[in-house]
Amino acid sequence: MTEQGAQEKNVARPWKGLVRDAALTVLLAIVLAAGTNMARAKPLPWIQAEPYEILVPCPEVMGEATELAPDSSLIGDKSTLLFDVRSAKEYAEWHAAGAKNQPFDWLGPPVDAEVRMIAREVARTGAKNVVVYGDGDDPDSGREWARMLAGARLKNIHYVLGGAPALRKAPAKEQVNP
Amino acid sequence: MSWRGHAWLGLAARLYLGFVFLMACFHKLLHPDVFALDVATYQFLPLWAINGFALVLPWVELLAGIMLVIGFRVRAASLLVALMMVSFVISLLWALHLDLDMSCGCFASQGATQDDPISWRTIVRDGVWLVQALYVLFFDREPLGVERLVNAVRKRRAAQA
Repeated sequence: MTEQGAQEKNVARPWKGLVRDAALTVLLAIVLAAGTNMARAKPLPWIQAEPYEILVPCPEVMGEATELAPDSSLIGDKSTLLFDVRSAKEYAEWHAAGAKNQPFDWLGPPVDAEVRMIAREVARTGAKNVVVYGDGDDPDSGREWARMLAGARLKNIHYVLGGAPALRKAPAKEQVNP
Repeated sequence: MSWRGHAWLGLAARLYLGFVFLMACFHKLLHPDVFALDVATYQFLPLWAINGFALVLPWVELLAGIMLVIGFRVRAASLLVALMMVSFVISLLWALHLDLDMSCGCFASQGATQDDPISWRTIVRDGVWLVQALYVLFFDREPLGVERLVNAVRKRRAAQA
């Protein structure tokens, strides 16, 4: 075929060559992928047998909670519901006076039931504020819990900056040391 | 359509897109197992398709990136890039629909959760890249680059003969 003939054919069917070139590129990619995969010490199987264990980032709706200093008067206030979201063991070792334990598991199932329970508790006690403290790490479990509660549209949610360690060092209020 | 400026605008778009895709493919080529997990996190593809996709896609990105940069089979490369961008945008919309709080995994692993988190901004960014790819596909009919150079040399030789 002459060059002019080839050009005329290309003008008449411009997509044919385009799709052919794209398909050839994908084919080359498959060959390269297969070759390099075979050369690996641990080749990735082309078809995965076991489902992947996905650490799916939590889909909880997060709101914004207010930060409280560890010496805030709100923490010991009678109109405040205080929650310690560390593990039961840490809670048993030390917790702030009046705090209820509500362990927060980063990798656990969604905590909707717990959030509803706290909402009921707020309604039952008529508490004006909810204060949460956690481990004080980065990220702080107390802050995350507080944000979850705020995301569930609970009002006046606060968390203690620095969590339990900061609260423990704070000027003495009524605290429990079993 | 035959405006000569298209070739220069197309060149700028091609170089930009080409380097984006070259940057995007390296992590995936080096760690296909990690990329496969990233793909699985989207919960979009069926299990049987995840590893094949994770193995082949980075090579398509690499080849398309090289073709765009050097100017070889540019329109085929831009067609592939456009198809990839459409699939990425659909995946991102899916992740947003599921409310997945995750990194997009476009340039690095999901492990880097704060890196490039999925948002409407990510979708707009990919949309802009899609428009660039479509511009090259539809308007850059005589792309500057290796292929044009080779054709010019061939024509000159044919004329001399």
